[in-house]
Amino acid sequence: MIRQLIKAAVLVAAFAGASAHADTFDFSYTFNGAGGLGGTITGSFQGTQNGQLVTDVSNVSVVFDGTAFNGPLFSGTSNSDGSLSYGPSAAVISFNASQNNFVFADSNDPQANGVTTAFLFNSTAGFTNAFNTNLLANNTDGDDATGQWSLKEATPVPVPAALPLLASGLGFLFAKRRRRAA
Amino acid sequence: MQNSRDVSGAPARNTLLSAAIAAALLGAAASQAAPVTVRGTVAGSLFTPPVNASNPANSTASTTVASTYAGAKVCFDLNNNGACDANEPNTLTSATGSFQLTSATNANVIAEISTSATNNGSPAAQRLVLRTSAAGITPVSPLVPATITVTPLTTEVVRMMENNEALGTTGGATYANAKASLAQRLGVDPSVVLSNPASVTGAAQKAILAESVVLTNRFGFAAKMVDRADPSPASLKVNPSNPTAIQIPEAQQVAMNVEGIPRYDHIFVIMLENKATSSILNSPFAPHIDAILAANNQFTNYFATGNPSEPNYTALGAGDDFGITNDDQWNCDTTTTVNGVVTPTANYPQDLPLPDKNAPGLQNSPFTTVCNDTPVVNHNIFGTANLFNSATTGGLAWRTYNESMNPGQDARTDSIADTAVTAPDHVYAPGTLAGNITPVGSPTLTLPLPAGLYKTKHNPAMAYQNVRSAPEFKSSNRTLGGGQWDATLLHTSVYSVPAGYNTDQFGSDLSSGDIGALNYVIPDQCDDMHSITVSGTDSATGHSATASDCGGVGSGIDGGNDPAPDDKADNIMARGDSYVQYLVNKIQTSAVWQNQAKREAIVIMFDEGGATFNATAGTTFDKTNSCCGWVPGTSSSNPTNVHPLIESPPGSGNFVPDTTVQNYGAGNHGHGNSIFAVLTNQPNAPKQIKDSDAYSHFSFVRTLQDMFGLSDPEVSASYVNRSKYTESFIAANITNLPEYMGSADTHFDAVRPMSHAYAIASGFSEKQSLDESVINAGTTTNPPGGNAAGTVPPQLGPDGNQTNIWALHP
Repeated sequence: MIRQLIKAAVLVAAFAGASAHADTFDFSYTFNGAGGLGGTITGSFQGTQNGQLVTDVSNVSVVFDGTAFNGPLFSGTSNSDGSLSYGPSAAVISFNASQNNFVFADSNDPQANGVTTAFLFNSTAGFTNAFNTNLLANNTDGDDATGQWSLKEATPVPVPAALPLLASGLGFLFAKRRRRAA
Repeated sequence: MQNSRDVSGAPARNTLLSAAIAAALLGAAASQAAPVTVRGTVAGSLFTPPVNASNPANSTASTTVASTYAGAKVCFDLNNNGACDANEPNTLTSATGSFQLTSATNANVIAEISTSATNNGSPAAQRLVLRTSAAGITPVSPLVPATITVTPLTTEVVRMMENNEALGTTGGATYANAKASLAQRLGVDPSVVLSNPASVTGAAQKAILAESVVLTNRFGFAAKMVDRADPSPASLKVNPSNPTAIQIPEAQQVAMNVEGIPRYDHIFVIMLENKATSSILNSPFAPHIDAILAANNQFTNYFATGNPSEPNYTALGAGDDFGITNDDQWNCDTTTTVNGVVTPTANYPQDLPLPDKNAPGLQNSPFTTVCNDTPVVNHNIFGTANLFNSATTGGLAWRTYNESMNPGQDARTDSIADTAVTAPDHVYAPGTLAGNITPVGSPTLTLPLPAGLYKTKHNPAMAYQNVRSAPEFKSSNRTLGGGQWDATLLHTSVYSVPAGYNTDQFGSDLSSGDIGALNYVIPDQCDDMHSITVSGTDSATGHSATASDCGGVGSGIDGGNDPAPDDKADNIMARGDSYVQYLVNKIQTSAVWQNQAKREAIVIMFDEGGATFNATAGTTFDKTNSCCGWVPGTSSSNPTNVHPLIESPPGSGNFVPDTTVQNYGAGNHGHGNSIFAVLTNQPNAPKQIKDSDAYSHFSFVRTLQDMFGLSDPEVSASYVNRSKYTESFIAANITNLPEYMGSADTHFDAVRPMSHAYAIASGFSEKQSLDESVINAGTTTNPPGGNAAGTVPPQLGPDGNQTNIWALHP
């Protein structure tokens, strides 16, 4: 009985935690190396998880093969008509990579003018690309979206709204245990 | 919650969508300052060379398939030096040859293919650098890759742009024009010419792959020049004492212009027989050839290498006559008979099936196995490098086109007489044969096909066992139309006519383009000025009579020098002259020749002149009968210490005498000057150029190797036989070349490409063969319009200009 109650409390808390609100996510992508130099892109962003997808992407940071890009990065996506869209709701990022369509770039020009640093992953078109032209030769890479993709929440800590519910559940269990002991 | 996914198994799909994105953004004005991202494939061809064994059972044909290069280093060549430098964005190609790359600025994209890279999974056969033009990259966005390919053909476009080549187009050598010109040259659509060959099909793919093989070899040679730090030709001009090392862009130009001989797509070598220069120049019996000489280019001091025909044709196939001094058939004395037992010698032909008089269809063949020369010389040349094997190893086709063969005959036998095949005598109305005042020929004379119109001694490929054993040998010896008996050749009673037999494959091949890079065009012995006995019955008289224009014996003093200028020895010259005009017209009106994006050339030459070599040793006769790789001296002396040189061990650069060639010193003594004309289809090529430097068949063989990119001037062994005998080679090997130890003129005695690189010294009178200067001087009258023999004056001093006769443009 107690075990069931604990499960219920955790589920309630977890349900509350999975609701739509901004979380921080860590990502990494290691190029397959067969079509390039095999570099690794890591970084983080804030976004809203909805099932397999994360949207409303903001506060992006990117590290190119261990070298952090210092500066603001805009998030966006490439559209089926070839245009680029930037803004919080544009980028689509998925846990299993199959629906990835995002651009992290240091310019939000629709034609990418002025871009010197970017990481792009377009599963639909079938390619990834990362470059930092300021660092030149070994800091560019790309493949056919066939490398190793990883996405996870940066801090899997329950959100504040779920804590009172969990506390009340645990309190109820504690009170019941005391009565039985008495 | 977290997820990690290895997506390496996902297909590289939706390339079309990627392209669509790229295309959609094409119209968007990307900033010039924006980075450029490209993705594509390094592709080409995988060529498996033929195996050219002396036994057909051990020979295999070459194969070519589309391929991709894995592990190639791809970069944006920001400084256009043809190398991926440390600061240039670079990557490696995947197992499928694909790559993706971004650069801050657009530039040519190059692929450095080392021998550690693989070509369709096999180690790359040679290092090479392929390039694609920045002008062919349409920058879309650094975030939307532009799709490109890097292939030998994209490299050729870059090279053409850098050399300002785009024939067949207008507006200069822009990227679009160079691409269009290359497509026109290959006969494929411009939209596919620079594609990955694997994505193209049918005839277009075949043409692209064939070109890819040739270009891969040329660009491999360019990389070789860079790797060994050859001096830059451009730098040499500026700083001869301290030139810089050549780089890929310049090396790729040099690789297309080896020793000053530009690459041609096809050359047609029209072979004529036994006339000295003085016999042709200004002769009323050779008006067409003389007109061609006047309008085009000419080597005026060209020497044969032997006498009679066979040593010359043998030399034209591989730069040596191997001591042959007569016309014995290639299979003679390949058996010995002891006590009635016939035993094959080491030179026994291994051809399969061997032509045999007892075989069906060959009962009447004049095939003989008896050598007549004393001492015996081997006529069946084993295991020797030659132009034909070199061509196929380089991915190129060769042909001999032979007139008046018997339908169904084996090209390894002479043609035979056939009474079922007849032709009327040639009749010349007054005024049509050197001003004849009475008709020449009989309209009632019918001539059965004589024997020996086609002779194996006149086929440059015939002497070589490893050529006769090659899979392509049979199909490469083809028919040549225009003969006197063509109309009834298929009436033959002596052989079974093969289905679909074409008496003029040359004409068909000119239409289809299925010609060789190297084409020896060999008229029959009536149309080549040689002469044979052709007789028939004149129905008007009921008596036997001979043909009007195929009798007599070419003496070397025919034509205008002959005191009886309308005899049949002169008439055959007029006949040959007309046939040359027929051939030239046929070639020049073909689609191949008319396509100026292709580089086409015609050579009109004679196998030999008229000067004899067998004069008394030590006389001046023996000092000017040939040049350029010959054996100075006399055949009568037959020096036994003269041997061909072979590299031992292979690849070492060390040459030793090959003492296995019997009586070698009897050969390569020359037979005087003869006509050598060059015509090209290039509209901007120089015309009416004369090059009076001394050249020989060996020089021509060397020139052909340069023309088709088959050799490396820094590697003597890459040139066949005596074609490698440059001044430096002779000097380096003088202890093994006793024939040159007494040379007083190393330039005259040495081989060089026919590129007009040498300026004859002021005040120097060119050396002439004796039929030009001594033998016949004063012995004949000088008929109107003709030279007396010995009256072609030697040139004094340098040529009027030093323009290369083979040049494509001024």
